[in-house]
Amino acid sequence: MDTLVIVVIITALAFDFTNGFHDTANAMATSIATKALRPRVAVAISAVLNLVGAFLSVQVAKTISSGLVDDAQITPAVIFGGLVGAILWNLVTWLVGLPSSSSHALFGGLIGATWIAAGGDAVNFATVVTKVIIPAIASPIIAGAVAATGMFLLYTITRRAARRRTREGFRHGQVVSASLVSLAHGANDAQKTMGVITLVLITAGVLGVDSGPPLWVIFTSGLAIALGTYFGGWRIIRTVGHRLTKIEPQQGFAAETSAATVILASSHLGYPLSTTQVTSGAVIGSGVGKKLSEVKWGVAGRIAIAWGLTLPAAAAIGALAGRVAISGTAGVLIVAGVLVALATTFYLLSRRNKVDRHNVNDEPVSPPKPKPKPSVTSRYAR
Amino acid sequence: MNVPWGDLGTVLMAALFLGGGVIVLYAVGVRVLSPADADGESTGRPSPLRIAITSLCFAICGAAVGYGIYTLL
Repeated sequence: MDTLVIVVIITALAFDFTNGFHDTANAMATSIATKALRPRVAVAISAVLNLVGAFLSVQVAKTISSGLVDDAQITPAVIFGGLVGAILWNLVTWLVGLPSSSSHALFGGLIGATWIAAGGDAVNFATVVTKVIIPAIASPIIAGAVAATGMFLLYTITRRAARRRTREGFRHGQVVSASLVSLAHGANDAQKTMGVITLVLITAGVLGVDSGPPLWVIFTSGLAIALGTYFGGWRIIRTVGHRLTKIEPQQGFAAETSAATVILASSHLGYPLSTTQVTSGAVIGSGVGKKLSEVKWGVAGRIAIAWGLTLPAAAAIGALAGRVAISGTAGVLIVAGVLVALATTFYLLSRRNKVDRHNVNDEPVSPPKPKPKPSVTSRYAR
Repeated sequence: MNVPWGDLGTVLMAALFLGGGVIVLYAVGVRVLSPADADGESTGRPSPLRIAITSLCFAICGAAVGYGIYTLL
């Protein structure tokens, strides 16, 4: 294998790692917020289920771009540029604690890199609209509607039940539904990395045309996403678990069950939706179903802006990285060096305001209000 | 441009009936298992009939989870 192939495989596994820690919140943020599970236990369960999920199916791995770009135009350098765009956008959104779609970041990166390498004709814009943009708008609405309806019915049914036992019951249910989301996430998202690595191996002549992913590719992809999940994107977990709405076990159960159903139903019908958008929509829906005013719409608006920016931002970074990478091995190594430097910078910036398993459930601290100076009249009144 | 509105509608209806159904069944199970007085405090151990109804509800929810895992294969 030549240097470029090895660099692309390592970069694909790095993307898989960021995909894991970026998306831990999808399954486990609500369970951590309601203290149904201790943070470390939650991410460990999610990591194991992501690894198991990676072995369940390889159907998605056979097409990495889902028809968004002309697969014949994809070269290892283009894939590398796309991966760099996706990784950097994942890191930026992680740093500011916003749950954005890793799949859309990968698609955006690939679109940008393909466009710069092969021209606009190589990008299927109609498919981008039907497979990315419309689902991005529809998926949180569908998940939110299901969660809001479920939450309303749930509260109506359990209004007169024993409070403590009810909370315990929904905590257990929440763990099961969150675990199902983790399994579905591993089954869907790990396959994208398998697809990337398999395609690179085919273009390098290591595998035959129409080959599926070899076992070592399945295992390393599953392991990378599981490790990323175990490290936990604590910043995004805090946003989804605490900053969108105040989550109780009943809400967590309704949100995760709705998310799991929407993800599984759409995957079964061959219409994959973003796990991140589905889960965020479900959490918001569970807040709406309980009490409309409990949703922090300012935070929800920031998340929606991040979703809107994901595709073009990752495409811009992917195009830039792809432009340098297609110039040859030296270009690839330069882009790899810049990627490592920027990733290190983001990590160091995150250390200034560290969020981890110890403080992920801390309430946001609001600045203290200044004490009003006693007025002349109040002084005389004393 | 061929927007698959039909698929999205199917996802919505399937999720509403299946997801909503599991939520309602589980809520019924929890409700039956948690008899309370007017203050929302537990009124003691649930009767065998209540335990049986709850078990049935939870078993159906468990079967739904199993079917969900099956669809991933």
